[in-house]
Amino acid sequence: MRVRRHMVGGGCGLPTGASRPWRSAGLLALLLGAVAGRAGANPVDAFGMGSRGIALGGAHTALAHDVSANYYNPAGVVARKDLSIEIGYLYAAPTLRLNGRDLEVDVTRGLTAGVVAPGAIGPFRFAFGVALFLPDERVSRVRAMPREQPQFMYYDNRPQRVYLATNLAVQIVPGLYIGGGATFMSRTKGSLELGGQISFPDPEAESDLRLDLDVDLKALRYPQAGILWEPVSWLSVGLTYRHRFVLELKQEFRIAGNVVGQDGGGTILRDGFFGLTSYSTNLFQPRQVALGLGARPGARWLLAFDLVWAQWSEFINPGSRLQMDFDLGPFTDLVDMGSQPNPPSPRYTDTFNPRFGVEWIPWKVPKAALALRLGYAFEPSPAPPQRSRSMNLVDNHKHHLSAGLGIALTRLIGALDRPFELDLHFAYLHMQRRAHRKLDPADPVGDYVSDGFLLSMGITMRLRFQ
Amino acid sequence: MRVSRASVGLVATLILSGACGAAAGDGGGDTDLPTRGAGPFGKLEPDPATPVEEPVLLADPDGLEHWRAPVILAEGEGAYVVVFAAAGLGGTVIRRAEGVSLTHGPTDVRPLLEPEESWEATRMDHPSLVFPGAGESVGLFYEAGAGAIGYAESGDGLSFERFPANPVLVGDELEEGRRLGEPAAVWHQGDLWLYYSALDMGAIFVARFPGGDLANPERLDADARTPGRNPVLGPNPFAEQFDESGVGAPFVRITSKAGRPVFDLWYGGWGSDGRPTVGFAGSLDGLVFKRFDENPVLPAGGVTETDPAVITRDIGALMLFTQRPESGPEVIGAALH
Repeated sequence: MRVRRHMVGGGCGLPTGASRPWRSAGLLALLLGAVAGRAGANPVDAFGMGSRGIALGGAHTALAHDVSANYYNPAGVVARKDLSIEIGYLYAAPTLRLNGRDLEVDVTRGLTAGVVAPGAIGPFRFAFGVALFLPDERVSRVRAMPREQPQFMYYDNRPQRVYLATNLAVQIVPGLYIGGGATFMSRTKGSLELGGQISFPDPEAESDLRLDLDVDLKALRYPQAGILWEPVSWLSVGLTYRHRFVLELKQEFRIAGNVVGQDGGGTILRDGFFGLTSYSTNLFQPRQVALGLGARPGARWLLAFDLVWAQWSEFINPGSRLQMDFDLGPFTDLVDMGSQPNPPSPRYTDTFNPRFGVEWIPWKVPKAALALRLGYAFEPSPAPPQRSRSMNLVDNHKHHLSAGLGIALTRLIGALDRPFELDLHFAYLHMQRRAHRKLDPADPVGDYVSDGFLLSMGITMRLRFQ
Repeated sequence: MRVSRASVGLVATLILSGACGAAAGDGGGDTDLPTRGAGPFGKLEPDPATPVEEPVLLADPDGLEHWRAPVILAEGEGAYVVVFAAAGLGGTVIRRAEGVSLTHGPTDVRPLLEPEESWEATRMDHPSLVFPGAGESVGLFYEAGAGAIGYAESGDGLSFERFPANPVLVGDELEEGRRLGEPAAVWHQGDLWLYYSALDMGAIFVARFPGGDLANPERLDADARTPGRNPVLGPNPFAEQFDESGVGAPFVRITSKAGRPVFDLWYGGWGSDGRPTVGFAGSLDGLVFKRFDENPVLPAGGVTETDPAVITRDIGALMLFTQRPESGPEVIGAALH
């Protein structure tokens, strides 16, 4: 049996003698080769978690002691002794423009929820934490567009999926905590196989094909870990590591069988097959390290600073890579699938993102308190200007401005002796205008300018129990 | 399990396109995407519900005159003013059609310019419009006579006054040859750039009128490294290309979307079969043009198609072009990108 293997990225030509099923497969290859997955990171990376953390500009690595610690710093889940239950809602509406026209990228909205459950065995303290973001509209999303089509890499496909993080944290000594766990994402794997007999020249006439279909939605995990140190009552230091992960999308199509002539024309091709496998990157999250500081210069003030390193240099072009295998018997050598190189490197670079937050408590009485929060973060774009013809993975420098308030009410319900806390946030993300000037004077997309903004708001309600 | 080929195709398409996400219909992020408008263009499909014979939008109702070489002026919502050449037994004149849309023919067709001067003989052809100043002022370059380019200007777009020193450009009888025509004018950095066909050479050249001074054309060389003057676009040097034998009928547009000018050039090209169709090339300086990889941008339809004129629409672009059917006079067709 002669087998040919090609790695192609799209574009194929079949001699006129090829039969229609094989031509269909060739067309399918063309279709797959011309699409690109969309890669960014997860929804919590995009928008943050919990209204308090978002209102503080995401500078929460040294301050997260609630459910949001599952994202910002897993060590934080053990820093307080209360059982904490949270539920909230996040709404984010992007206006992302190319040449001044809104691409109408989908709104992200969904439920956030989680639990922090502390425990102790003698002096040994530990805590479990779970955090969930559940989008309203989609549990998961796999989406691709033509490889050369402009797309905003950060926000287009990024938030459309379930985020689930679980962590375990322990206290080393009072004031020093470590924690770690895993975050779960979903990925899709599918294959389709056709087998049997195809009639020639009219496949409609006497074909007899069996169909096997296999599509899986599989969980994928990546680890995170953190350390939290509170050396004195007014200072805390946090360090968090979030692992890189890639959601690879693998789709397989295979057709195998005999090609027979119509009306008893005999077997033209015995045990031929054509297989096509498409590999693409559906989602990418860079490896991240976040260093955070929290300081309380007075009883009513809190200052926060984070510096986040993100290893975007490992970002993978989401364009699909195709692999074709076929054995067409005596016709194998007549088939020329052509070839095209794999998608080029997007040449993203690592980023350092500074984040600042301030919290002020202007009003506090024994049974209630009000906190006001402001935050700012700058997220430099890891993407270079998109100048080459096949590259339109657009991103801009991002300025995050956020504000929020927190209300704590004690004895709201008789049974609750711990405060009921309500946090609200409003955030504005400005995408700095950026020009993309193409190197190729005959580029089909041509020059364009990207800019935009994103508005988000949310609410988090927290109940604490001793 | 026995399934029909159609079912198999459907399932395969659903699975592989859906799972791989090729079907991008569910969800945003692909609305109003930027496009150069270069192509490919698809000719208007026949629609029995409209009174026009798609893809033809403009044709002599009597079937006697050739209507060709369109230029589009956006007018209002979905309707255009089209300036074109009409060639009949009495000669070739320039006319203006009002209220042309993609679903119906013109509401009015009126004469714009007719040959009067001796150098024009009986032929005024291939109009090209520029806007030299504010308000309704319109400038019109045209090919006339035995192959020269003239200019006229109008304050209202209806009655034109000829440039006194016409013709503004004649062939240099060197690189250009003797006959020039098919002008396409654009303003660039305060100067008027005039692209035109060297009709004897099958190539497109450019001349610049500094500050719009028509008395002092500067013929530009697209490649100063080589001796002689080079066209901005000549016959395709590669064999078996649609434009390997010659190019002409330029239509030029300058856009500036990222803070720099970019030149778009649609042109007619013809190969060994002598049937022109339309291609595209782009340039960053207006002199060195690179051909589009997906040329030709107008699918060959077994008939001659050239004289492209393109206007950007809200989404994509509209191209009008001259179509010469196997029989009968030339007509003006439309295609969309």
